[in-house]
Amino acid sequence: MIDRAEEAALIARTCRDDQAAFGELVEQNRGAILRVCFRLLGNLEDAKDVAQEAFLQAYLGLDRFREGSRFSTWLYRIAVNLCLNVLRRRGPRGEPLDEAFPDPRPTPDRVYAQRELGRRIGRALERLSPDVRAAVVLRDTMGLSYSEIGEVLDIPLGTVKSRISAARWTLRRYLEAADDL
Amino acid sequence: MTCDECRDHLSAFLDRELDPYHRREVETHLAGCASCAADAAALERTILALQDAPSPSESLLPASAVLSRLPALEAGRDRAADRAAIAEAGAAVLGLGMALWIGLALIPGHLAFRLLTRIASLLYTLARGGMAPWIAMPGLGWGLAGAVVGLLALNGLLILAVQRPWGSR
Repeated sequence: MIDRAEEAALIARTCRDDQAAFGELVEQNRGAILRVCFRLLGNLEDAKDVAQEAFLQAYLGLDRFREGSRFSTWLYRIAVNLCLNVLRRRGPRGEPLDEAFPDPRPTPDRVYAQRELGRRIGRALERLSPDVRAAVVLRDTMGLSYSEIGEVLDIPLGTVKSRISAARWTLRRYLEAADDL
Repeated sequence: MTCDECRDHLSAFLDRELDPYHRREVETHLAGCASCAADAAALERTILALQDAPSPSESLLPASAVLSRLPALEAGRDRAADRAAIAEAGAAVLGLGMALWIGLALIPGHLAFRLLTRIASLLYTLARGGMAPWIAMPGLGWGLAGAVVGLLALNGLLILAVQRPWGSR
């Protein structure tokens, strides 16, 4: 994880057409952006496409980035908006979830249990509206604070709080009904 | 605090995002309400399940996959800038021509003035369903057609000059 000064230097170099500097920004953020896209879309191929698109949009719009906020927060905002567009195009029923991505830690029982949990969480998340899903994913998968989530989703703190709460109660009901907890 | 109020605050309470007043209220309520305490424990398990759910490894999105698309992106950005430049140049030429034409048309007796009055007369007559001005001034239609062809040709030359499709880029 790089500090804000290093981040600002990389952004400044990227604005001077230094693609290696942008490569470093991608390197620092690719895992987080892929995770958030995957949790929102529930499909690895779509997540990879949207994550790449988010980085490319960030590259094109870097001159619009405001130095007061974190680059990662701005990147989350681009990625989440792209994901929400995909989800709105898909409609309420969505597409089948795909949790079958290769796991680099090959311990069979644990991997199986984790994948099973991932599938159930994916199905449960699919029951939430895109806006509510985005709030809870940013909180519980990405660990963002309520104020950061408000900044990413451009909503007031009270709305962040109510969306996360609504999401968790719905997920709890679904997961308990599926006898997961 | 009632159980319903406690439920409303429980999620933010577990995230430590409640203000000190509501935090104390929830703590006090949970200490004396087994039902809400059970809800809090279940909600905490839900949060842990979400946090524990596996995510794809970042190795599935190599930085090179993004960087390899930058040249095409740059080319697209250049083309967009070219298109914007063409549009600006086209608008400037048209604007200048219009301004010149309107300026000349303000001089009574000038050709542009006569042309403008003819066009106004044509539009008025066409609106009334007649075609007399075309008969009265047969060269006008050809003149307008020539002007349109000229503008299109000028636009084509601008596109060639700015985009250089013969490959200097």
